[in-house]
Amino acid sequence: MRRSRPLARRPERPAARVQPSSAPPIAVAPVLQVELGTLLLVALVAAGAALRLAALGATGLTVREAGQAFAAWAVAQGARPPQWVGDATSVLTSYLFRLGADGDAWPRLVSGLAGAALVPAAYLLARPEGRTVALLASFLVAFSPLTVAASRTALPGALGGLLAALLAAALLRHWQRPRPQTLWATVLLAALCLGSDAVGLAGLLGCLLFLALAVWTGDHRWPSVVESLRRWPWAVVLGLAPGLAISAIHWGYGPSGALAAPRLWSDLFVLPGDRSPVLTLLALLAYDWPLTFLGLGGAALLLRRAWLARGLDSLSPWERLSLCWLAPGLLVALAGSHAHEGALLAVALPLALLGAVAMSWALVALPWGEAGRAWPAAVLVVACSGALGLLWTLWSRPFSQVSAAEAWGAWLAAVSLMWGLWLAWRRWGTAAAAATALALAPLALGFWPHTVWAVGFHQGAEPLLGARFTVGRDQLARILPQMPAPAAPLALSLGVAEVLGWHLRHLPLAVGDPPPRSGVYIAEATSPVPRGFSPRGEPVTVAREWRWHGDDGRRFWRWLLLREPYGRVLELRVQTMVRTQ
Amino acid sequence: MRHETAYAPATPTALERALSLRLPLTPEVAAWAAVLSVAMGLRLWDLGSRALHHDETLHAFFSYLLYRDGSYEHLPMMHGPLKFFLTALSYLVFGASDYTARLPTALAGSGLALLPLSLRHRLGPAGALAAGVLIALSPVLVYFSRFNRDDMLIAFLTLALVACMWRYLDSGGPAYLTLSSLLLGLGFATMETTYIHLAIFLLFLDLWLAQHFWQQVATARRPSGPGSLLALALLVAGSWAVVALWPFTRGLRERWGIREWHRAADLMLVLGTLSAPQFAAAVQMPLAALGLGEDLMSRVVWDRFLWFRGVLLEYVIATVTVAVLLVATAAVGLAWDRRRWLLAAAAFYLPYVLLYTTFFTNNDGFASGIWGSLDYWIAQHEFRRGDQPDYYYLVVLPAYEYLPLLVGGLALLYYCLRGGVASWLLTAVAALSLLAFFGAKGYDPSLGHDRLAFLVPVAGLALYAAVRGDQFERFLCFWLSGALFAYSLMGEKMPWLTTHMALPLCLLAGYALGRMLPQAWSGGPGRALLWGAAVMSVGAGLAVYGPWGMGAKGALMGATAAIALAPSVAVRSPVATALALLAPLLMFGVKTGVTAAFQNGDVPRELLVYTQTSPAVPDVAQRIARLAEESGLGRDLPLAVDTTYAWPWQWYLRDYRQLRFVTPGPGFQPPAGSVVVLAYENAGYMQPYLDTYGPPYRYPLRWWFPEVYREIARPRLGDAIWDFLRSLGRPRTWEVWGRYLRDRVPPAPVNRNDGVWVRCPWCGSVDEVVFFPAGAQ
Repeated sequence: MRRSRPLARRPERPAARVQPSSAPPIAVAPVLQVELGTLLLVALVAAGAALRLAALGATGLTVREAGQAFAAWAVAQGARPPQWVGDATSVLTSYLFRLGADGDAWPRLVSGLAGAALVPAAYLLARPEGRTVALLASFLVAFSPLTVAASRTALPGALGGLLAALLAAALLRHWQRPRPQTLWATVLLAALCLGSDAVGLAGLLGCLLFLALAVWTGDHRWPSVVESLRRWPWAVVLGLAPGLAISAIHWGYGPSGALAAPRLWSDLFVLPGDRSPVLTLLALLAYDWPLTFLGLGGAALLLRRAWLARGLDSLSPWERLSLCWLAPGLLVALAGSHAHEGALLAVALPLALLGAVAMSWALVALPWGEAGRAWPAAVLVVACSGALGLLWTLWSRPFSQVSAAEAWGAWLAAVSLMWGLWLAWRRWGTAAAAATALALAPLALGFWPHTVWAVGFHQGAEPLLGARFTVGRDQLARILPQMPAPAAPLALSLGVAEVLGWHLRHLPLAVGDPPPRSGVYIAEATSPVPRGFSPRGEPVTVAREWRWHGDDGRRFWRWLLLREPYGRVLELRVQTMVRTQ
Repeated sequence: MRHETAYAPATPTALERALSLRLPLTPEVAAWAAVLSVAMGLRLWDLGSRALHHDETLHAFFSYLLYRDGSYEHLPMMHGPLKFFLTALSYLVFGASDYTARLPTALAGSGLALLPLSLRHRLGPAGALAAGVLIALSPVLVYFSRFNRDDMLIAFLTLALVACMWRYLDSGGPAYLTLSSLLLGLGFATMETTYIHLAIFLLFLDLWLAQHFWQQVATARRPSGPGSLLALALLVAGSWAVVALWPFTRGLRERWGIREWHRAADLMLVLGTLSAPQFAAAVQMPLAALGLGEDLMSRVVWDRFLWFRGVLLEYVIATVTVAVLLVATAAVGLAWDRRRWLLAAAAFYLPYVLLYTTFFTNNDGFASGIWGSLDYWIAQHEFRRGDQPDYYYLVVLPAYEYLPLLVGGLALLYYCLRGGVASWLLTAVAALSLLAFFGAKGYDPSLGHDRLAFLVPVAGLALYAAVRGDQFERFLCFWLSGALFAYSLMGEKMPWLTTHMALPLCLLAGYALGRMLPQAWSGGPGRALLWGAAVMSVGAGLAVYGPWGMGAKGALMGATAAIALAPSVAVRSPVATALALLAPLLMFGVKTGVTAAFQNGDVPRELLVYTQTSPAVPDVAQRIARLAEESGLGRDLPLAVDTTYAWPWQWYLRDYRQLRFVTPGPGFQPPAGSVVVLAYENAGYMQPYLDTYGPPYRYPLRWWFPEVYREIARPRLGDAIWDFLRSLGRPRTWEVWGRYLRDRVPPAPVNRNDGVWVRCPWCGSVDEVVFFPAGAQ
């Protein structure tokens, strides 16, 4: 007989049948308690240091780095080459050489150490804004390819950036609570910035702008700062005197390279330049679009807040200082004609601070807990961007043709992406934005290590880093000792000495016109042959430089993935000449 | 006047609170951190130094093409697409190199060591930790974590799937069901061993549900003895059908008293409906039995159909089967629970479709995946690649997994037998059924063991019934036994497949150790255990590696045991004594793993090294790179490589623009100024050009382990077992094994003992000869 009790269509699920483990528990007590924030900071500092200091010599020095390193090496030997600027990085590097250091990694060590210290310095600087912002700022500084590139170079920038960050932190501390110690530190660091480099000066200018703004807006803190100057003039003197002394005489190298920062700053804008601001902007996007967009987004958020509140005093001092720092940084990026990877730190650092503002805003404003509801948006983003990426990669192959189906597929993916996101926004609102951000985050997080690897550990074509040496340089270095009269000084033209001097530094060198004793003279391939010399062999390409050309998006994509150059490559060719008379 | 609060930053307070969270660092947390560190260290250190195996070069190169050109087409021979995408991603992020080619599997292997943590509620804290340690140190798992093959990815996905399954069974959280589906989909997008693992898990669930339903039938209907057995047999064969048709068979079920659902049924239904279409190609087996063989299947049915040309019968059958299975499984799933099944199906099919179709740039990939994968590997079963004996894994596992094998093996025996006489009988039935099955098969696969195929489910049921107590224990025993059986039965037996037995072995051993450790630790004998383990390890190490005679070694071991075990004997802790005795096995395991991974990684003194690219190959590649640099030609250096062995050179010379593959023969002329790499048998064709080349350099391209273990194979299983047992009584057997285990010296004659061969004089090899232009060296 059938039972009359109806059965639910959906089967009932019994309560959990937990079959507890038969193992007796082992009683354990915590031996230590660590704050999550501290743990994250330690991890960031360690990761930042590892990225900056590991295998510093993995890639050979670039041509510009070699010139800088050769000048420091020559100074350590007692010479004073014309390209010597006397910035703090070069001075410290030359001290390393005097202590016996040798090899490609050593010229980068000062920047590497300064760059590693920049990560906790960013935390220190942003700490008044709360732990979240401070950690985010450290995170951006630690992993940004631009800051990593600036820290793995022999060119000045990272040390100035570190001094500027410490200066800003000291100034903010003094601004909040004037003390003789903070005043002393602020003045000392400001003076040291003058002897550092263009990045240090950019930070100093940002701080001055901040003070000027405070005066202009009548900030209520300004009188107490002025009062502190009156109360503790000795702190100013004690800070200024050693700072200026160090910046001027460089620990015993004399006043020839005094106050290098303003000179390096002005050098950035000298015309004619070697790179247009368009290229610098492109470099910002190609090497660190997450930082650029986040930083500019953060700046826009702050300006919008100030606009709505009808005044900059609605921003915290830290936020105002970050905006003020961005101004000279943007000047370097937009108007600089010689902005190299070290100098770009001038804009990367304030962008990192402002990027932290944007990220912390997004963390609060978006409903991350509801992102799961909008998972189709995330799937759509992953599927369409994956398909578009693969299609672009397929098309960017040399000699590849675009089939009609592929073109339609790409259009379909792009249109689906746009419409899908719009529909998702209509359906789920900000939850869709959170889901999209979560889907795009791995893309950004994947881009960073890829670019960090490219700029720090790989010998690919990098417009940011400038010209790289070719195997021709090694060939040249191998055959030179076999030339006639190897004991006589090897003569190098001024231009070639700047390029090859570092690699030939262990040979007896004479820079300029060949002296009578020299049997071999190396000059640019286009330079005239001096009397008594004749060319030996064909000119050798010792370095190549490549920059983005035209608007070929597909080839640019291939460069982005594989670091393959396209279009014209600039070559530096040298000619070896031997004395015949 | 303004206050500072006006500047108060809009910091997210929840985040600030989270950052201020104080994390307790317990000894367990510290131990897990140590496990992860050791696992990562063993897997990531010096990852690129070993020459890439032939299979690895295929995977690395096709991943490189995906990374470089965005092109990938699924080929069942190289398993699923996930590995290629992960490797291409690794290249994208860190550049293409030998190291980055192995990075995804190394990371998966490191993550695998942490996964027992997700089964902590089942394994227990000590059991999970013990399993983590065994996985982290397992020589087999370490070696194949440093190997670009799918096995480690599958091991990770499988254990994650197991964790999700048990979490769902215990908590019923719907997220675990969705996550299980995602992991299953990724598994099918990785390797065909997923079919085997899933079959084991589904069979276990089927038996569990059969037991569950049978109990209801027995309660409601109170059948007689034979009737009860009949009901049990029917349910064993068809509890999956009861689950699938649950909503449609209410009347029938009520008549039999089956009313109570079970979470295992949710799992069975979701995993079964999602995976059933993947088994579509298996329809060919009954069709073949009906006479629809391969020749008929490849017959053209239509010359033209819509936009398809030359439509084969196999296409038609494949399309119809897959479509029917997709529709039927969707109907079953939707009838069960529309929302949850759709979510699970999305989690399963989205990554599956995206990966197989290469993000919709190769739409044929879907058919190739859902039909072609199993189709290809069914054919490979008959082909018996490697031609290894059925007992292959019983030779490999003891050579590496000392502690897991001893503890896991004893645990398996204990759990099978502890239920009393019935368990003993059932275990005997299971063992004898399998022996009879393999015995009928013998060494020759053509002997028609299919007649005894019915013994396999009998053995499965007997094993399931033999293990009494915790269902999780039963599952671990079933998984391990099922894996050992399935992989021994499979035609293709390779050392990397040992991974799939080592994993459940480590889990079962970890589970057993997790029961023993707290007993040995609490109540005082903890120090005695530590002392005993340390002294035993030192003493055993000295005895094994010391330069003394057997007598002295025996005396040393006796003295060591007396000193080491005295404290644990004094506190009357037999468990602590047993664990102290086992401690040296962990040390020897670590030594074996480090030797296999770092010293003999590409030298086939190890059973794990199978037809391996010799370390001479990367050396030759480096010499070529040096010549390219010194000549100033860079990547334009002309190279000619014999097509006889195009791999692994495709990978090693991938960046050279002037690489030509040549087929040497009479009149062969190498490209001017090129480096020439020829198979040894073709080297004579270079004779006319030797004046322009330096002295040729001969080296082993691939070399292999001398497979002396084949000698114990006999046509009849009984003879083989008898011979094996007799050999255990001969001192020579122990001497040979001892020598191999200690020094990795196989009992085989020396082939060559010069050049690179000095590292493995017993190994067979195929050789190549490289010719560098004169003056280049």
